Amino acid sequence: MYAFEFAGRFPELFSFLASGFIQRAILTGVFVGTASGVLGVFLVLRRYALIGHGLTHVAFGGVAIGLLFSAQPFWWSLAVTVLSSVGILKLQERVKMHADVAIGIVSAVGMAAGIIIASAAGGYNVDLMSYLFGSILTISKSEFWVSIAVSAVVIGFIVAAYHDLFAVTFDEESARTMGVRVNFYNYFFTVVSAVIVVVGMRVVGLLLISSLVILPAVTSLQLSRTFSWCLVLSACVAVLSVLGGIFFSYHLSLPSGGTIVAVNFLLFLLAYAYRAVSGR
Amino acid sequence: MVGNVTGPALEMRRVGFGYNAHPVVEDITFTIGQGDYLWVIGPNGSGKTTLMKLALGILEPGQGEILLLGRPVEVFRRWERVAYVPQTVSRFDPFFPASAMEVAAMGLLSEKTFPRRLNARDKKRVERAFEQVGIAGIMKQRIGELSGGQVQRVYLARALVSKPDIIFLDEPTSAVEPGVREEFFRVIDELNRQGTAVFLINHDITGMGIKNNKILFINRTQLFFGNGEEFCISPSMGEYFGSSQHIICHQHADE
Repeated sequence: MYAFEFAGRFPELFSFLASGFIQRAILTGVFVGTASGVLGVFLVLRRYALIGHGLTHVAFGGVAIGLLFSAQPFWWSLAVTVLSSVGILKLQERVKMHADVAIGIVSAVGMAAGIIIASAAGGYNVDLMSYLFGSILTISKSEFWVSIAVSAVVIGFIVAAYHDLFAVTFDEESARTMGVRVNFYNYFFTVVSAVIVVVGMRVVGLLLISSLVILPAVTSLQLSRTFSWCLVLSACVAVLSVLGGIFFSYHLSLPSGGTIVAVNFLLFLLAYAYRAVSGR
Repeated sequence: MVGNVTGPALEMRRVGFGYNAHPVVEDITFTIGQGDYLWVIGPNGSGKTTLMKLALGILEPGQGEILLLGRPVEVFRRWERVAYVPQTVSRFDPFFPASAMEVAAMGLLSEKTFPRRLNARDKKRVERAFEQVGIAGIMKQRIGELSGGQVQRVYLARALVSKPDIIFLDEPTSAVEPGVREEFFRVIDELNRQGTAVFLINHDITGMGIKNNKILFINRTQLFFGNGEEFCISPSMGEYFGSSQHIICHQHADE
């Protein structure tokens, strides 16, 4: 009986797709999710999973600067976060510190700057909260086009440089002896992480964007037997999480960012359970 | 690819390297000619792996000069002529989601320009390399599911696909079963007979053929460089095995 009732409500459940803001949210989610999912596999395998989380603190500082000057927080955040990501690498190279320490220093300074600047700007307002917690359903047209374009470039480059990125991730030393430009790709991973954090902050918010990078990758690692399949699966998991999150968020009036991550985690649990039961 | 070398495959001239004023290797000078087979031996911590990494440009020497296939290693670009089989036991990640085929196919990257794409002919070359090392049946298996010896042979297949002029091997049989060890060295010997120079780190020299091989014995500094016959009668032989050992050097009829 309930099945008939659900089937009868089917058109009603998906009628929201006709709305322009939902279509923008879905397209943004698909592109940003794909880019995050694919990048996440490389970061997790290179033991660099927490760089996304560290850079969100810096992005917060960039958003605060943008709101203080009543300028576009997105571009301020992008500039500050990309520069900080390069700073993390320089700290590792010049001061000879481990990656987690460098990330910790830069993220702490970024967050501190953000708190001070937000206070100078009059405290935590609705705009700042939307960047912290995400608001994919209220993404503007300009943010939509920028997110799509940036994500498409990231995805395109990863596809083009697939074999190089695989070599650098599997064995950096051997990759050097194959003529792969390892130092360039180290900078690539760091800078792209910064870009994904910024374009993703509208999708799930700064507080949760690192999970959109890590969780799909960890989910696909439970099931993958080849690297290429791992990337495809991670992208699919990320997109499914975003679409599922938007769907439940809209119909259950839940915060979109948190709902996306919750769906993401559910998919991870299912993958883990399948792996445990099948003995892979 | 093999046979294009007009000078020495590798030259090191008074090479030194250290971390924070602690020397790891000092004043190392030797040459590997075309088709030479160099065994590098020494106790743990003697700098053997560091020396290999210097030769490959992975590390930068503090002193001296290194010429790889006639070019200073810091500006060397013809990586399709070089193959490297690292010591897998120390660095291998068993959870990495890659098939044996994907790992071995990396050996073709040095021949390609960006964006590097592998075609059906490349796949056939990888398959032939797997057959050469006797593991054709495991190509599609995940690398983490293989035994240490199988992983080592995947790495060897990766090195063989490009038909290098010089191959570097760091303790290649450390994880290999004794029965497979002979097969492993047979493949390397065959590669050497076809003209590929060999730079091999292996602490176990028992069973090594004496004729036409060179030995480099280091323990931070260079203690011996020469051929096997010279090593057999040098004081370094006793130093390597310890004075309590009694060494008998013999040649087989086919050498």
